[in-house]
Amino acid sequence: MQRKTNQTKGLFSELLGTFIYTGFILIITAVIMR
Amino acid sequence: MKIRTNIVSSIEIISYYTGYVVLCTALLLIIPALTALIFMEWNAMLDFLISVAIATIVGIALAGIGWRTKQVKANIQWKHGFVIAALSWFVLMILCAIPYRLSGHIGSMLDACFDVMSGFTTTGLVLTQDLDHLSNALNMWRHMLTFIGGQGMVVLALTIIAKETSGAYRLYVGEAKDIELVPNVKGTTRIIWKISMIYLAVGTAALWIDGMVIGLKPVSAFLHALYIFESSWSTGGFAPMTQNMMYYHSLSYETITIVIFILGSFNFGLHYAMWQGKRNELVKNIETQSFFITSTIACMLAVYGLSKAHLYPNTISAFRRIIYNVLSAHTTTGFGSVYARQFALEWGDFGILIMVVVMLIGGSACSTAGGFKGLRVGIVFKGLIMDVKKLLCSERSRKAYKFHHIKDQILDDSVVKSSSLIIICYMALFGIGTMMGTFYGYPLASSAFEAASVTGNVGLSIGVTSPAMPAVMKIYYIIAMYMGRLEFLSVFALIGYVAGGIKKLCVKSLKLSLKIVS
Repeated sequence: MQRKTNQTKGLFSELLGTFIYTGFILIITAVIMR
Repeated sequence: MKIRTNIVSSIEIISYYTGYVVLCTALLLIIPALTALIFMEWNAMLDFLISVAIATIVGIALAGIGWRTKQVKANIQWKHGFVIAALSWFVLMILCAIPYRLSGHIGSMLDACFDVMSGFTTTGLVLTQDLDHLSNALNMWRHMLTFIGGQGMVVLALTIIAKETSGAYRLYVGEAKDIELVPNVKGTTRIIWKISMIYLAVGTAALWIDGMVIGLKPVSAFLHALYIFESSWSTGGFAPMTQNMMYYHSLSYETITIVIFILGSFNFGLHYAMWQGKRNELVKNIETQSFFITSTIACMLAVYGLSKAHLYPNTISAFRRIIYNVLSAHTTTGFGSVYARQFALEWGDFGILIMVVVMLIGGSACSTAGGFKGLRVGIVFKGLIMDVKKLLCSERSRKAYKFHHIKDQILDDSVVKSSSLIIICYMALFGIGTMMGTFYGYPLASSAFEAASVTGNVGLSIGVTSPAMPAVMKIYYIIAMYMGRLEFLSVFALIGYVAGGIKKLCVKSLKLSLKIVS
């Protein structure tokens, strides 16, 4: 049960982390394009 | 005279395990055959049934030559592991090209082998003609090749092996993987597949829903989602349509693929650590740090450089056309959101240079990505800092330098040296590819771009790769993709083994002819 919880949290952490990085790159693009 | 039946020759060991890997991969040909049955593509079904038959016969024949290997439980040595990995990839390249050749969409067996090697090595360069009208079965097969190639055919075979094989680790390392997620190789390979299959379910679902939102029909949306996920996760770059990602005209679709291919370019050890609860690994790991720095700098430079040319009028178009391609190149995926010739005609030398650099750097070690890997870039950079610090410190001081990659590891000269050697090999491969392109009359920038794409197993094209390309270049690109993916050692081991065998044969024949003469 604990293992499945860790796996689910790990999966969501990876997805969230990558989305955050993508958003960060988008912000940098917006700043440069100004 | 007592016959020693408990000694098995190297050829028998290599043949047995190569046959086993060939059989495991060849059985997968049944999946596109079933796809053809579902969609009533009878010609395609026949193509795949013929291919299954040929591949199965070859696999059984190879395993049969080395049948004593299993009986005497022969020990696999390091040389066997490397040669088996390299040889099985070579044999599978030919066998898996059969359905391509039979389909009528490919000009020659060489072109078919090119596409298969491009799939296995998760490169993504394509010589198949009329991509938009391929059968569902052949599309399924193309994308499966890239998905399986990303994990590794040897990894697939080790997952299926019924019991732990002595020397399995040597087979595993032969395919340019050395990470041990759990103490046994079979467990490690199963975890790699488990992670990939869970992401397959999540990623395909997300793309399927988004596909229907952007206007694709449900069945078509599902197939596209499956193909695009397989290509993204394996950082392959194959797409079902000629226009690649431009076919979807969708920011959301592109964003989902960015997330998938970035995750696909990460080390499986990182995924496993995250799923074990060590969530700060995403930040502490040298590879993610290296990727973050190099990709951010590359994106900034590319946007700044191309904004001066006023190619893309606003942030969103810059994100979709510049950032998408830079990240696709850096993760060695190869999805393109601009046409090949636009790189040459619109991006200019600076844009092309950024792309060449990121394509060569590539993704993470022990992932589906290519290039000389962020880990090596990080190690060489830290090695340089270490050497500078040693110079500045007192001669009597002794300090251990470390880097964090899943766990803390000592940074010593041997680690820096092995990373540097592999980088040199990649650069040599890139250099030869660039020279070859210029020799055949392609401009320097285009030759360098294509050579970087091939060496780093990226798959973006500037227009050089085409069915009309000289045959010598096609052969070189196949070799470069193959060597780049297996990170040289396996291929060198295979070449050395074959050369050694030929040398022994020549010496034996010479001795025999001298005996006859005397």
